[in-house]
Amino acid sequence: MFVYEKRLQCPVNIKETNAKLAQAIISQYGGPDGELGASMRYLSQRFATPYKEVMATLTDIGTEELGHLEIVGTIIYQLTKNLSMEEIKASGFDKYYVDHTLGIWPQAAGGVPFNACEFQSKGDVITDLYEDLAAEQKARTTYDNLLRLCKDYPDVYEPLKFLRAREIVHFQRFGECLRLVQDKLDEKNFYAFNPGFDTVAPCVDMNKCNK
Amino acid sequence: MNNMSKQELFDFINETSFMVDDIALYLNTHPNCQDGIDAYNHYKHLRKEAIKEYTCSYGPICKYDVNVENYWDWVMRPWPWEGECGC
Repeated sequence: MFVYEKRLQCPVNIKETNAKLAQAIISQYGGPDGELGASMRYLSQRFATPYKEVMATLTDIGTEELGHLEIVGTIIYQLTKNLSMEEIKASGFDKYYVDHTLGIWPQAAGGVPFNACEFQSKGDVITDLYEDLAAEQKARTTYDNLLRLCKDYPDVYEPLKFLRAREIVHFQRFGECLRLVQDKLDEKNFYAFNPGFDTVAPCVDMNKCNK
Repeated sequence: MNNMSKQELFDFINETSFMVDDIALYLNTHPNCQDGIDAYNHYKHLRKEAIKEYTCSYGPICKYDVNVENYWDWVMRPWPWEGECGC
């Protein structure tokens, strides 16, 4: 069961609106490496994973990513709050505005809507963990790109810096999960079968193989 | 509550939690309803006591309530989708 706490994991208090920045940052709301995809990826993968440590890690990180989605949504909301028609037209925000007014909607910076195809839940713990490691790095790169765009805006920069740091922590934890799963594999079958599904390699007789 | 089995206590947590969820949802749009507020307080208290007893006897259901001294056992207790006694 999920329960809401009325707090942000990292405070956001943006004093000046900036629709140009909002249009870039929205990618971390609903873009290809955004927080919505991250949360759905981990919260979906955790059911079929065979190891409890991985269940716990996917649950905790998937939950934290929902908190990050809230932080990114807050940043976009505060950057676009009370925009004038002149600001909307001058910043290029008019294309978003026509469909969503000042509502927060999951899309990439280029306008592509959120799509579940941006993540996988493959039912193979090693496959999934490699995707998770890659996802954390891709999100970290996106935050690096955003930080370069925001360096003159400390109110925006600080929460983005926090989110970037969490990508690195999550990468580390997923790396530990991968190591833990690999330690449980039979050394002869390293990478050869899916520990969530097969008890032996699915397509080869390992005894014949070794002869 | 003292005579409940583990499963009964767990079911009681689920029931009182659902009461709190449903009443709180109602109160969002009926903030002056005294009956609603009384019911909220009643079930909130029952839920809190039940969770306290369950956590003490069988372990935490929330990661903010883990009582830990030297080994983090949150991970090894059953996960709800594993189909065993709740948590």
